[in-house]
Amino acid sequence: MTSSLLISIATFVYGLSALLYFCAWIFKTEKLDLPATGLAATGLGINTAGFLLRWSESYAIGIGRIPLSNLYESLVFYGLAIAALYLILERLMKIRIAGGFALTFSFLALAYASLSPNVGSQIRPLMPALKSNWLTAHVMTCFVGYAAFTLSFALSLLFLFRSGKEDSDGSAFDIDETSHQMILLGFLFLSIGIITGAVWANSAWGRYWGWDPKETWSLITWFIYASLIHVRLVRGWNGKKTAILSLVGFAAVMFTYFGVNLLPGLHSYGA
Amino acid sequence: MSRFLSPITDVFKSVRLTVVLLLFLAGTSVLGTLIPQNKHAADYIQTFGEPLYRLFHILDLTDMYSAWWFVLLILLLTTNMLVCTVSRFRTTRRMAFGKGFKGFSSLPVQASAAFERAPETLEAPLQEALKKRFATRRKLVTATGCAFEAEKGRWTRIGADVVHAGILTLLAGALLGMLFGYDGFVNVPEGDTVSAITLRNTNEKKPLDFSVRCNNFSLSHYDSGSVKEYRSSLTILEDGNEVLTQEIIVNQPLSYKGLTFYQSSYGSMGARDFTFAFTEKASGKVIKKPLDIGESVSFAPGRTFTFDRYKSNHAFKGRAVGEAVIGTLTDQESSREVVLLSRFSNYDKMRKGEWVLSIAGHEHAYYTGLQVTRDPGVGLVYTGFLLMITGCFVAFFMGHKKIRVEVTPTPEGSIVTVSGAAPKNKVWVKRYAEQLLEGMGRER
Ligand code: HEM
Repeated sequence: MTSSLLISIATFVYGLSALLYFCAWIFKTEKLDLPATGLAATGLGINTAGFLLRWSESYAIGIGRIPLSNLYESLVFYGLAIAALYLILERLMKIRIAGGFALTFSFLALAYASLSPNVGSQIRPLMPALKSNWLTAHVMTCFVGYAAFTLSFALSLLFLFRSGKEDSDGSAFDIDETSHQMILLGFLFLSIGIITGAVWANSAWGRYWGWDPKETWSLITWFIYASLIHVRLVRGWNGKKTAILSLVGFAAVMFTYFGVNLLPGLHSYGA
Repeated sequence: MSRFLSPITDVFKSVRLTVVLLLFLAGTSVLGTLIPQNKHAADYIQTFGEPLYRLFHILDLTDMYSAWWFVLLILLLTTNMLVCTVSRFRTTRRMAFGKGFKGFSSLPVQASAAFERAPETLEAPLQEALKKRFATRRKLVTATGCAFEAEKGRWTRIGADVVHAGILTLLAGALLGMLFGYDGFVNVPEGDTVSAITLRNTNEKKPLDFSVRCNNFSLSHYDSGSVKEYRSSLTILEDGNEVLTQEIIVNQPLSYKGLTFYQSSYGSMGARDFTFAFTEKASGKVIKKPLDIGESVSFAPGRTFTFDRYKSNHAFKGRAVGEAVIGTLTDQESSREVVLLSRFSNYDKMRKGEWVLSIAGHEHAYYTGLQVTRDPGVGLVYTGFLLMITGCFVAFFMGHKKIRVEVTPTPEGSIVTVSGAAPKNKVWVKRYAEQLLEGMGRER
């Protein structure tokens, strides 16, 4: 059993789970609820096992490091974080309709990791600058933040979809509010992520900020969500307007994650 | 006076300005990532063409993040935050730390229920339930019965101000660093001591008021051949006395008197500690001798070898063949030049002599490349980081919660009405109100 096999299985399970969530939603059958959640939890278990196995594999070949330092590894962790956060949310808020979207994202992250020829799955040794606990904290917090923004994106999409048949069951309020809660969580973690990244850069290169494209894009993302938070908390915007801003914010997240590689810069090893 | 200023402060008090500035900063930063920063004019002209480059140059887009207008945006944001915080300061302080139980009579109703019990029997369980969640409580007698009020987390009203204070602290730290900090580098050969560095921007030499010695530099590799670690052992000397010795690696710098030394590069100073092997072709006998540059050694009766020169990259028929030693072989009376290559130990066989010479081993002498920075603002910046994270957590997840429970007697028993507000957690109030009533034994 290798970690990449586990990740392939988890991809498949996530895909199936997303399908069940969508079926349950479209056909309004509660019968599918339990299997959908069960599959999501199974996928999360296998995904986590794959993550841990990869960690131990790196020790077996004498490199020994937490698997969070290239695109493949970050995608695996991203998929894991989305599924975990969604399952917690499902327990707390009973918002099942976001399930299909959330698990589709987990599925896509893992599928991209396994299938894309651009993403190397080999375990490579770390260059000296990457050997730092700050880096581990940096990557983990950033991706928890990205996962929260992803859920907020899914909820905002749902909100916009459903805004025609407003409020017949009171769920519109819940969707909007939950989406906002996810933005607050994401913003907190993105802030911690940017900060731990700055502390790491300072310990490796003697500067905490250098305006490299990845840094700058994470700040752009931060500015966009900060605007959203201000218009919501201070000026009382909600519903459609903040949902659209949330889509814009998520586009910035995706560009920070994938798009920046098209630009020249320092972070090219990572993601 | 304040009348003339008030239109200006009004602008700076508005969150609309905040949002406009934040989005402006976001938008211009995007430009800064699309246009590579601080390149040579020729690079821009090649990529974007002459006219566009002119435009970039006029608008400072090629060094955008230190352009006057970018700094101005940050200054406006700072003023915005300052004016806003200061103008609200009294209100914030009163709300967070002043007398409590404000505005309880107008809280929105969240849930209510009728009970068959008399108000007096409801009081104890109600008090008990409120006590579990709220440290601050009081009981009031009202026109229609009595009311219980409870609140918590009033101090969290300062959360946003803590975030803003954090951002201001961070910006102050950044400014301090820009004004009084510098950034330089120095290369120190193993065994050498330096007491000046070169500043990166101006290439100017800057003397230090102490000196730094590199005792040793080492490299280690993974099996695959890529570099695993750079490590330098450094000693700080004050007037020739050793005061501190520390090993540094990437990510673990050495700090002394406000200066920080980072491992940033290294280079070779050539080779040393050579050992040579002399193999007699007829018998296969091997003799090994250590030898320094300029010395001679006799390895067999009548035969001596002199180590003349070391070359870090020798050329053989126009091809680079790596490190080489040039020496002189003296055989009875005749002597000739020989070339030994460290990468190809059989090279000397081509000479077809009775003895084959080769380099048996040598060490490398390195210099360590140190980045040296002084940034007196880092402490403030890190303080700002902590304030921001704490403030965000408080502002987002620890809101102010108010609950008021009114108990009114009726002929059948009593009616209990729960009103409350939790601006940061609207889901919570409703749920808590329901829970409270259920906890008191409301019939479902
Ligand atoms: C980036 C720079 C920022 C600026 C220039 C800024 C500026 C402002 C301003 C001017 C206000 C209005 C205050 C008022 O209306 O009385 C405000 C309110 C607020 N800000 Fe910020 N802010 C910034 C960042 C943040 C961040 C990162 C957070 C995240 C926690 C935040 C959270 C808040 C909150 C929660 C309020 C509402 C305060 C209240 O209603 O009590 N701000 N901000």
